[in-house]
Amino acid sequence: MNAFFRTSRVAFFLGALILLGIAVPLPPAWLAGNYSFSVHMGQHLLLQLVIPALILLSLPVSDPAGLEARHVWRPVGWILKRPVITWFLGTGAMWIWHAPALCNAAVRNPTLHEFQSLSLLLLGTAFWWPIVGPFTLQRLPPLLGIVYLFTACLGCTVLGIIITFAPPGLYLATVLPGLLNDWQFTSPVDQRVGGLLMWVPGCLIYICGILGLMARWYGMPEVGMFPAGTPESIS
Amino acid sequence: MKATLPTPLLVDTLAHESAERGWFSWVATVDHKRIGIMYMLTALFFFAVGGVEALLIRIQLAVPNNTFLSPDMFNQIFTMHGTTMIFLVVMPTLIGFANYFVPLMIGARDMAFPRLNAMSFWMLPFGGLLLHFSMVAGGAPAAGWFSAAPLTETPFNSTQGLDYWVLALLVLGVGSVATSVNLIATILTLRAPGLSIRRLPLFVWMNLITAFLIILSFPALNAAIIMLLIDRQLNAAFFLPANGGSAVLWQHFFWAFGHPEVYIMALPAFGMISEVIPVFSRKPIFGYEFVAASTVAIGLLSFGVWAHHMFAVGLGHVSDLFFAGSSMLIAIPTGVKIFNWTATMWGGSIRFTTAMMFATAFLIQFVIGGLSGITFAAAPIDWQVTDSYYLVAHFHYVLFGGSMFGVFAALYYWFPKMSGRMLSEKWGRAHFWLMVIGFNMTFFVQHFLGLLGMPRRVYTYPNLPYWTLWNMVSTIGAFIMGISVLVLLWNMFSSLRNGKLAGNNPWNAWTLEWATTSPPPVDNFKWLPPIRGRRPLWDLGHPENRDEKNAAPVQPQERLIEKNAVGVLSFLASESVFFVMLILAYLYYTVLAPSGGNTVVLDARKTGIYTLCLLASSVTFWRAEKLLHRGQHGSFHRWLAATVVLGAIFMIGQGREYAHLFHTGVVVNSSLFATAFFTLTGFHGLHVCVGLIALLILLRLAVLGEFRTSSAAVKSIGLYWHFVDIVWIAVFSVVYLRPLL
Repeated sequence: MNAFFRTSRVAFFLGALILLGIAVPLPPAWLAGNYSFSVHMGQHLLLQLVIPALILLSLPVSDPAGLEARHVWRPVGWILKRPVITWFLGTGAMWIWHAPALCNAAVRNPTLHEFQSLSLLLLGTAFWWPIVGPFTLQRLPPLLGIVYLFTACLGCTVLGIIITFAPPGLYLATVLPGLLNDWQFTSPVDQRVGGLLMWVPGCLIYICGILGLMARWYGMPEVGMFPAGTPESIS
Repeated sequence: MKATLPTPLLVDTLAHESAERGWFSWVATVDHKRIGIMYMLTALFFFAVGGVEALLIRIQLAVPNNTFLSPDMFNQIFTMHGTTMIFLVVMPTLIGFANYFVPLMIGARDMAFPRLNAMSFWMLPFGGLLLHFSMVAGGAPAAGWFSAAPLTETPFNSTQGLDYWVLALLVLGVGSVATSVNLIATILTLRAPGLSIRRLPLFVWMNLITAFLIILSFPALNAAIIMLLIDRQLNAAFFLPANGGSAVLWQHFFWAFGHPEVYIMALPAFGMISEVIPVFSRKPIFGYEFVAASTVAIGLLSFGVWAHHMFAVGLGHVSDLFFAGSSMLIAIPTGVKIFNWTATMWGGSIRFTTAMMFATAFLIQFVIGGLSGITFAAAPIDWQVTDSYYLVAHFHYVLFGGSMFGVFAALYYWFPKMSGRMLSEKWGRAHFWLMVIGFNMTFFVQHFLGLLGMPRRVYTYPNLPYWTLWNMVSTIGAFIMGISVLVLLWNMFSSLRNGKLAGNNPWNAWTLEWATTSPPPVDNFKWLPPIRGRRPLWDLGHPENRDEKNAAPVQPQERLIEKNAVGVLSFLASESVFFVMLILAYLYYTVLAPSGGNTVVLDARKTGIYTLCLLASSVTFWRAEKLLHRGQHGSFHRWLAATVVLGAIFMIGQGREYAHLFHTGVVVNSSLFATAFFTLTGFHGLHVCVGLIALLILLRLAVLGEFRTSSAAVKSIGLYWHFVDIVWIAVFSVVYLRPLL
């Protein structure tokens, strides 16, 4: 059992590293001159929703809230213990970074772009903290966790819908000639794919989280259960 | 195998007639059992109406070039058939069963809000009357059950049928949302000690998920039909492309409701099957956790796949691709359930009672409907067969072969509990076989008709090869179904008079509703067995072999959540979806749509000041609540009054802005912006007014000395008032601040 969990933690960590390898260096290098909005949207989804969750899942789980002790970490610990705040940090990051002005500025300015990536990672970590964080006492009870993820999913969906139906040209994009010729991947299509990525697969990530929570919930011992082997359980 | 129950439970049947008798006691009742029965009887009545409409359709289509019905009459009848069957038959039947059995299965005395429950029920006959009143007011609606725009707009549909359709659906929607709020509060707060959410009977679990689907999806329908009503009554153009509106937006809004609606009609039937199959297989359900979790997955996915109803609209290949993928995913949790049910039957000692036979037929027919559903998820196939009889066959396999067969199974299973008498198995078998033969004759051949190219909603067809044959087969099948319904009615009628007495637990079932008499007394239970697992009556009869061997004795639990808070919060969740839809519509018409754009300049500064008043009123209310808690009643009254005044100032501000706009010629139908603006801010204003009325009532009661310390009423109205303010922050940002960016 223990070994299994250790293996799965390693797998989560490796998965996070591989996805980080895909998400961070590739698009800027590959698309330096050929910026595509939808590829960036995929990058954002990985950075904010997938990689932080995998990293948190790869951490060893413990009960005490260890961040309490260190003076420097106190404000961070204060935030992480408040799911309402982390929820707003997570969904807020999604919404703010996809305001056309900010999103386009990040494309033009590499430093801003790096800041964007880093902030998505950090805020994504804050978002997932009450769900899969390493300190079990700071995790939300499963049913509240489901509400937390479901409402965040709705926020994400609404943003995805808005981007999907937005007038073409809202987001900066130059079109990749190869894609354009072979697939008619024009810039309005590019923008729509970006919106749809956030709308549909983005939602699926939250749904996976919810199903994971349910699995964890059903795996927990029922309140009011005796550990196996106690006298009462035999009677 | 027999569970030994304490003597008080083994006694009489039928002795527990309610003290009150006569028809008025039914009209005035707030008893969940009577309300449940009234739901089912009303649904049965409309089932007869919708069934006759179906037979009329089939008579018209029995032979080619038929003139039995005129084209316009045919349109009205298929529209009424669809609307009736969905909103007046399937939903009320399922809600009726939920009303009757959810409180019993969780060991509660009634629903959380019995009077709200009665109101929800009376919305049903009211809505049904409104819908059918259209027939004498110039003609029934004739645009299909999903009323595709712009066919529904006045230029194309000038009778009042669609207006009645809208009003009926609004009324029915209010009833459904109210019931769902009630069910959520009941299930979350009134469970018997020991019945944790993880031990809920699956029927209850599915109804919980369904209730969430209803409160979150009906607002989308309400927003859409209100916009349609504004179009029709105030000459606006939300869905009228000729005037710049968007017919596609109607489809998005409608199917954002319409797809979850499919699961609203399917999940409770899944729940019924999940109760019937284990009991008659003598095995606990296989993989309880998977059935429960897959239901959640279905519920969540159902909100993200509606565009698969729109593959033929022309959303673009990219959108089609995404929604084809997400739609296919739904097959996974649904398939999981099929395996759960078959694995429950596997190796069980199956008793093929009529209930179990219907459940088995459900499994087979639902798989057929599910498989044809997956074919629709592939966009290219959808383009070929959408709006053909293949589609008609598909959704009848899901809704009739699935949901209605589940209902029949539940009826044979639970009729003894409701009436105290068993339904006749002999007549039951006749009903079952006629129904299976008739159903499959009617609808299986429609797959072929669709693939041969027969479109749905045509009033007649030429004499093409095989069309005549299959249509005749289909019509004969429909009449066999009609006969089978008559058999069912006779079975119910004769069994009520002289059926075998049922006793408390005729099927040796395990859930709590069987621990009381049949029918149950007014307050449901004299005594509850200890609940230490998912099958309390099994545990009671087999103490040596309990399901959860390590379960501790039941401790009286503390309620973590209070039912009023749950009720108000779920209602507000529903309201927020409504406002999200209106805000999205506003954004669509002013920013996103190619024809959008706003030439009207709004005064953000002036409205900003009124906005501050509204926000301040939230603070004053919060303060008032604190003071009440401390028992300072005088100050409480003053701060409450301040809240009312601030809210009223906001409304005056709104009124002045409206007056100014009217003065400059901006009225509700002068442009798409104006329509969207007045709809959004108008509905918010309406909510503020409702809040103000509630606050005034609170103030009056407070002055009369009603509230000593904190009270649930003050808290509930406070939540509502804060919600209205939060909505305004969103509206203000989108309408007034966004153009400044």
